[in-house]
Amino acid sequence: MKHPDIPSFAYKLFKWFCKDHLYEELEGDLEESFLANKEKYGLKKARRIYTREVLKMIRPTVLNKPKSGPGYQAALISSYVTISLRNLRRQKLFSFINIFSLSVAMSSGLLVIGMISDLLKFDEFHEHKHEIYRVISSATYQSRQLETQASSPLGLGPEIKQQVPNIQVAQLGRRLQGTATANDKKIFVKGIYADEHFFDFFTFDLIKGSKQNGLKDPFSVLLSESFVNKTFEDSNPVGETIDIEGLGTLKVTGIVADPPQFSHLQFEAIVSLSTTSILARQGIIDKSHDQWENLDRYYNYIYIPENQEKTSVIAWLNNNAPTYYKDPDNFKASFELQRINEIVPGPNISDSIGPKMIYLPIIILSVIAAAILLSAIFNYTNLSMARSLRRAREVGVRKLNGASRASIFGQFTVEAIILSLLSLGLGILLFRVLRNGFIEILPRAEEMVSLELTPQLIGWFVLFAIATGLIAGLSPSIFFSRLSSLRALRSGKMLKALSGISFRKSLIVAQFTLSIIFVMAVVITHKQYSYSLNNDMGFNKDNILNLRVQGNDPQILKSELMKLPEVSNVSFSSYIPGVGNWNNLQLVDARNQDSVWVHHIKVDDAFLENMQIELVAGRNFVPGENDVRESTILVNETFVKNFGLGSPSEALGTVFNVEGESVEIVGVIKDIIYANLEEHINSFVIRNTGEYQYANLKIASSDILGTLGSVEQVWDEVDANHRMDAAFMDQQIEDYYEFLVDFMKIFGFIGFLAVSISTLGLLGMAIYSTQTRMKEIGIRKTFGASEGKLIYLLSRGFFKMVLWAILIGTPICYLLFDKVILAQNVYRTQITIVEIGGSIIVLLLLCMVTIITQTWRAARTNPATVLRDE
Amino acid sequence: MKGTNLGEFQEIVMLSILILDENAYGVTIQEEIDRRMGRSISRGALHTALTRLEEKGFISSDYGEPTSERGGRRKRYYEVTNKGLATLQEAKELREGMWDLIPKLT
Repeated sequence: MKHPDIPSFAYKLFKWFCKDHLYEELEGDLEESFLANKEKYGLKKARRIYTREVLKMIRPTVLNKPKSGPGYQAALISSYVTISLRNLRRQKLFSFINIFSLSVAMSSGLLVIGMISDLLKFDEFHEHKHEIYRVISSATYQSRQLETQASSPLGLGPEIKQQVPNIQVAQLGRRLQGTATANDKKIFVKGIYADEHFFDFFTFDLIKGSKQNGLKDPFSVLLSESFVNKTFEDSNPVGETIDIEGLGTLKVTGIVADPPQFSHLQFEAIVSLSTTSILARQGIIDKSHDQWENLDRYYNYIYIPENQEKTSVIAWLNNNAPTYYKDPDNFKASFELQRINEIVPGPNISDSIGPKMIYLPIIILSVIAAAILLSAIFNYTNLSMARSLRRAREVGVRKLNGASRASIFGQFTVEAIILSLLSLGLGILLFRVLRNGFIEILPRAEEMVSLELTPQLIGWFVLFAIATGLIAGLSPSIFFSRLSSLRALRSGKMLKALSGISFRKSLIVAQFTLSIIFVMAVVITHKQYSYSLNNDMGFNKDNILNLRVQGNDPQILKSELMKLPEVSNVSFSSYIPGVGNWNNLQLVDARNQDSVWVHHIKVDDAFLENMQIELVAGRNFVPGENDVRESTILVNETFVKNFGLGSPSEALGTVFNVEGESVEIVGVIKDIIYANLEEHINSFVIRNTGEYQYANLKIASSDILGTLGSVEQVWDEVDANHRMDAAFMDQQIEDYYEFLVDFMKIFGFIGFLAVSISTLGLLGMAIYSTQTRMKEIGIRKTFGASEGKLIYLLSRGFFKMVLWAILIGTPICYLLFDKVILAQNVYRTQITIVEIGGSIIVLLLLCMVTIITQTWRAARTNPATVLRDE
Repeated sequence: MKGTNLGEFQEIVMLSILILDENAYGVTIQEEIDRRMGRSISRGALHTALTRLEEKGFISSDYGEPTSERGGRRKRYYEVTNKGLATLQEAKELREGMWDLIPKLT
């Protein structure tokens, strides 16, 4: 008992830090002295002396050694580890189920972590990564806000450099690609334009040549090391020339090291930016390319030294830059800064110079991986709780022997972490197996992620595994540490109610809900994919080989190609229909001078026949008819309807103005899906003007390779400068809908994970619950229950859960696809009972096998063996 | 003398215990030292010395009866062991022997 006059803080402090066995003596002495001092010096001073005495007690001989000293802790953890390993070994089946499902789930998490860690490496190699900014722009055109662009006007760079002190500017340009002829070799090259300040602040190495002068003169080019190795091999290219299609002859001024993989600037060649103004004068590049109204294709990078405030730059962009727009009501733009290492991953902006990765897919993948992982964590929680009966006795004995709540908590947490680390081992193996497939599935991912196992990445993985273990172990740890020893050691009956049956059940239901959603997603996506390929587009896409004209004379090409016996017909078109392209055309109604935007394609007279497009009224183009000036067009049925021209045959003869010429409708075709399944069929005009991009070859032979070979021979005779670019139309359409296959792969992979994890969890629960009910089964059997009845009795509960999951998951998935995902397509498949029922049956069968194998075995056990052992 | 070296303060503590005889516990030892040496020591410092002496086996201790003036807490009485006594004697003899060796100035 504390004497009321003793200062209570000092008293409590002393009680807290004093060794227990010394406390009685020392506090007694202190109190006695305090009372004596109070007599002698008065209360105030006595209190002061007491406090001082307490503080002077802080010395090693008195201080209570905390239990959490390093040695004690280590011993405790090593004991946790030993016991955990023993438990894992004793419960082989449960450990296996847990480790397997956790590692499968972790592998998806590891893939996402690997991807994110690769993306975060982007542009980190620049020495001045915190000081380089890109100017991004958003235009307003006739009060309509356009998309934000990564590019900005060519004129901006020099102006800002002149007006804002202490900054540097480098300007880049894109759209440099084509066939290069170097050292008598023809090879496709991709690169960028850059001015002579390119090496001023970007961290790229120049192997040969001059950093100051290499990009100064027009028609200079720096080649990348790997491009030089492919073309010039060992000879020195500096001073030589190369030809790039569309640019002309360029002088090689140096060799630049290949850009690192994690760079948003990628190039095999860098051409001096000064070349572009000459190309513009020659008419190769649009003359308006350096106008402030042109925001495309050029990039301004600004270096703002660390000690310099970037506010001056921002102020210039906000206040001065807009003054360059003379007619802001018609067109104006606003500018922002984007730091170089925040470009990838970054916001969704158009006209990017290199690979880009926006946040959305990363977030979606992370959420999916988290859902899978949670599912595996559910398993662990579920199985640990289910084993509570067995473990409770252990906990009870430990508690009786003086284990604190914290140490029980620690035991179960360590157990979960060990399990999770073991799973990580297997998970990393899976990661290595899966990573190439993962990179392939993600569009354009091969440019951006390598998923290489670096020590740093493994460090992240271990942290991830520990976090997973902590989360997985949380609820078992809390449950067991709360258990009182009395309750734990008493009969199991009370425990059962405690171990949260409804909670466990809802976890299983949640898992199977996820599973059914993914299984259904795969089935529905597959149906939409096969619909996309087999749906009637209104034209024939089989046996058509599309050949890019590449500026050759169509008539020469056609007459040469027609000589081949494999080619039965050749037509021409301005683009390939059915793969997401369309062109806009302004049409003026000759009756009332209203102008309307419609879609159109330019084809020749053979196109309709070749593509087997049906005419509902009128006639096709007549050869030579539009040669002097365009005088006739064909339209589709929707056109006739939209313009209110009555019946197709009534529409014939209607006159419109196209680009100043008056044209007459001579034919009406059936509606065809000229764009893609996502777009409505609009008013569509077919013109015949002689400007074609593609030749459509009708192939009569079934020997595809042979045909391609002879077409290539013809091509090489007609055009020696370009390589043949041809593809079969059905293949092109298939490629166009390839993203659905990617979806299917992703859903399929995730679905596989979800289904296997939840089935494993179910298996564990089934094994556990039949094992604990063996005695009950034995008794029931001796009293005459049939095997069938017993199987029904044991399986009923599980099927109920699976049915609940189906009941919840099916409508979610149906609505998601019917109202959201498929709803983006105008032409789409319908979800029928076949897809829904099929998915449900697959899942039910799986569950049935899982459950019945266990219950069947239990039901067949001889009751004597079960009831005897007591 | 090896292993039994005695600090000055420890020696004083032991002598105080001997002086106090039956009544040697924390507070009285503290007071005794205070009185004899004219120097105030903290109870904590005394505790350290007592602990060291006990570790060396020079003193031993026992709890007494609980008393109300200490909030019902027991006193811990100290007494010097034979080993402690011998060590004190040794130290005294050592000093006296050395004093004897000092050449007399008178």
